[in-house]
Amino acid sequence: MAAPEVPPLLIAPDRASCARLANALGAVVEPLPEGGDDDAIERWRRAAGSTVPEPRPERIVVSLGLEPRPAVEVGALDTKAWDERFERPWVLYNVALGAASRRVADGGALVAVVQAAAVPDSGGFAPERALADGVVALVRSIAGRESARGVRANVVTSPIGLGDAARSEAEVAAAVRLMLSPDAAGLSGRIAPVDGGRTL
Amino acid sequence: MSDEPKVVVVTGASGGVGRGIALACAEAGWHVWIAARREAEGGAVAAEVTDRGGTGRFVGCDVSDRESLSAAIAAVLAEDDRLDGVVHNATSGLSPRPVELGDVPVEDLLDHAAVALRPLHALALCAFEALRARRGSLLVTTSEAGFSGSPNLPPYAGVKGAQRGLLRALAREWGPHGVRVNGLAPLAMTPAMQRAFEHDPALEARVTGRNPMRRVGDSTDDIGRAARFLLSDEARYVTGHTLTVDGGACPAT
Repeated sequence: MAAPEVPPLLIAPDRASCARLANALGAVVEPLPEGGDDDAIERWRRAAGSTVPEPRPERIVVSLGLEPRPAVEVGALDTKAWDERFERPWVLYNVALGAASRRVADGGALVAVVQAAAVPDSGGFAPERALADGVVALVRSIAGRESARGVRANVVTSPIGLGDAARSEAEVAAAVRLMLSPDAAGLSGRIAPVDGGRTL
Repeated sequence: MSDEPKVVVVTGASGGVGRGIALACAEAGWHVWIAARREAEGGAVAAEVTDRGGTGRFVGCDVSDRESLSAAIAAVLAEDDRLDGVVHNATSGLSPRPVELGDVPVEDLLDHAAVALRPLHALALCAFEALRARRGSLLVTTSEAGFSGSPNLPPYAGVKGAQRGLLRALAREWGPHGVRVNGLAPLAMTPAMQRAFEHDPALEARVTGRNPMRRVGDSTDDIGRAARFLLSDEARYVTGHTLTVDGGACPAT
């Protein structure tokens, strides 16, 4: 009898869209602290790095959720809004991806999910565009470093809540499943924008 | 407007690529403000700018401090009454240090973000109106690492990627106002690269070996002049673009 499939691990904060993604993937959730509490995030980071439980997960997803954001130009963002829309999520992505890259099993797959308006639609969503392109660079860094042990790392971007090219959360989950699956064995460092072709 | 020498501010210009950009702007007779923390080093580059035909000035500035940056821009405007360009070249001192992403403390992640990204938001608040009055431009020194990632310098690659995303979106927000926003991804021999080579001796051979032009660029003659082009009227219809100035090394063009 075949062994039951080990569920993927989703590293994500406690948000409604993250819970829905976990359900769609059949994933076990490892909760992240909310952004802004740097001490809590640093404690989480150290705990995540100090012990790597066996067996290591073969499939790990990192997401900060897909909650809608209003369009606000950079010059109209005050310091608090900049922190909320860029700096805090930025720290969380770095910490979560750092933990995921360390924890994933040899030969495993890692997917980062991030909101991103397609570049032509990115006016008003500059912090999100910065996060998305930054996450791509982080994931490609991980892909380069961990390829020697067969690990693949990819990015799925979603315009959910960001504009008229929005797609359903089901399509994002499907793209994540694809990137985690053996069918994507040859893909690493790729971006799958789930926006019907809006992103070049 | 086109006869007056341009007034530009360059952050992180005490050495390396920033200094090279400042000196290339000096060749065109521009007013170049070196915005840096240490007057000894920044003032020395300002003097070099003047020697090369520009007007060089130093303004004390910690780019990660919003008020410091705002005060620096205000000082430039008080003296020169106009602002044609800002070059955000400063990067965290942690940048060339090889590290595994999972080992980077939150404090260091914040440092990277505070030097690379926060000033771009701060400039939107304190420099945009002046740039708009001159139909000026913002130039961000990014990196190939922002496209391709860096196995050994992941937090650096991450903020360079984030800069690229931010400048692309800012170009869309500021285009209707006549302000251009571009990036420049250089491959130049700089003190930071020298330190990176020292940490990893095989790096230099790899870098020059895979370079189509078989060399690393000069900060002034190769990188600085390309930056000056992006800041100049010759590039008046170029925006949202990251120009790789690297001898052809980066495949993502």
